[in-house]
Amino acid sequence: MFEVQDIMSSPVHTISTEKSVFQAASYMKKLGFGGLPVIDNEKLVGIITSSDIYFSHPNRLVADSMTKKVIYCSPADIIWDVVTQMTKYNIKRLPVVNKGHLVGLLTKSIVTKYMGNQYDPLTSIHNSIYIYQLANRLITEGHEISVILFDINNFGHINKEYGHVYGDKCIKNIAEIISKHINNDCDFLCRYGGDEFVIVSLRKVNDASKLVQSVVAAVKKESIEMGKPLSISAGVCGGQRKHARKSANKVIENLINKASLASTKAKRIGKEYLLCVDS
Amino acid sequence: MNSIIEDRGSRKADINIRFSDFDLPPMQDVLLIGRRAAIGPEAVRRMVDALAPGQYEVIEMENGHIEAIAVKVELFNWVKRERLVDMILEEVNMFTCEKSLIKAKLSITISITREVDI
Repeated sequence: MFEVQDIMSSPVHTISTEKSVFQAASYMKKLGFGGLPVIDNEKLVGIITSSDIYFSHPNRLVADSMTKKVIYCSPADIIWDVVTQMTKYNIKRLPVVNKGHLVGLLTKSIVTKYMGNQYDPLTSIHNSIYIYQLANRLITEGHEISVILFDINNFGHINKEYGHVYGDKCIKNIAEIISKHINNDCDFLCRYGGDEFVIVSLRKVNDASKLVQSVVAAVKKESIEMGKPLSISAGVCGGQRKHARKSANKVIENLINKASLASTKAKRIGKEYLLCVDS
Repeated sequence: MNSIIEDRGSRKADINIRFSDFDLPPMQDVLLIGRRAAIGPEAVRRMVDALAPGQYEVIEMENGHIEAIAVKVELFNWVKRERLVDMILEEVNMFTCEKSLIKAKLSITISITREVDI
């Protein structure tokens, strides 16, 4: 779910240029919409919103009252980019156009729902949907990334021994600890799954491993303060990737998978973390 | 036996009908369209295209409370386009607002005085 066509609403309610403002207002009221794309000869020529209607005589043609300079996007645009533009320019409705034809609409409510789906409700940090999009973006832009995967040791045992409420508290604590240690300019954190956290980082692998060390140490300290066992293992993966721009998604999946396997192996052999460097 | 007769009187309507030629299109030489007028430039353009094709030009303004001005193109044979539009706008700015929809009739007279050898 990276492209606009995955979340846009379609088909779209529209109005034609020869309708009056009064007719447009009635139609919008009936639909409960705050705006409508305007179509002429099957092409998008404008958008009429409640504020256009407010300032226009009801007898006017839609053609004379619509906003003619329409910002639009294409179905294959990356949602991330489009949402950024919508937020920046306070756009409430963004038509989706393919070869001049209106094929969908992106509204603020769709975007809000989509953005909400990118957060983990327990920890309030992002979830894996976000991290996949972000990593895709970074790789497409030509950045080299490292992936760190943290995994709570014996989490099943913690849940059974101390209860699930305590288990949730551990997850929250870990999320807070990692959040405090990352640099928001180059490290991007998410709760990947149950007791797994992923950082996509612009750091080189060796620098990323330093971050891992500091997080592992902080969790140890937290465990001592809590008086209960809590520790994490980590896998770090990164390196040069040829032709990465062409298959960003596969690269991300591959990196996360390798980091996950490295974390499992680290746990198995009793290490705090393992590095996995691709060449 | 008593009977009550009610006299309601009679009711009549006078109807006057006045026939005259329809102005085609129903505007004169110039139509000034305010930004919040009851009709906009596109409506006027469609009207003149349908009723008097090729006879009017709708010129849209970027600034001011007049959004557009529809002018009979024939007038441009007498006075330069920019000169005429500027002059009209200069005159109407005093009494128009965004809701104005004003028609104007222009009467152009050219006076020529020549001196010829006799």
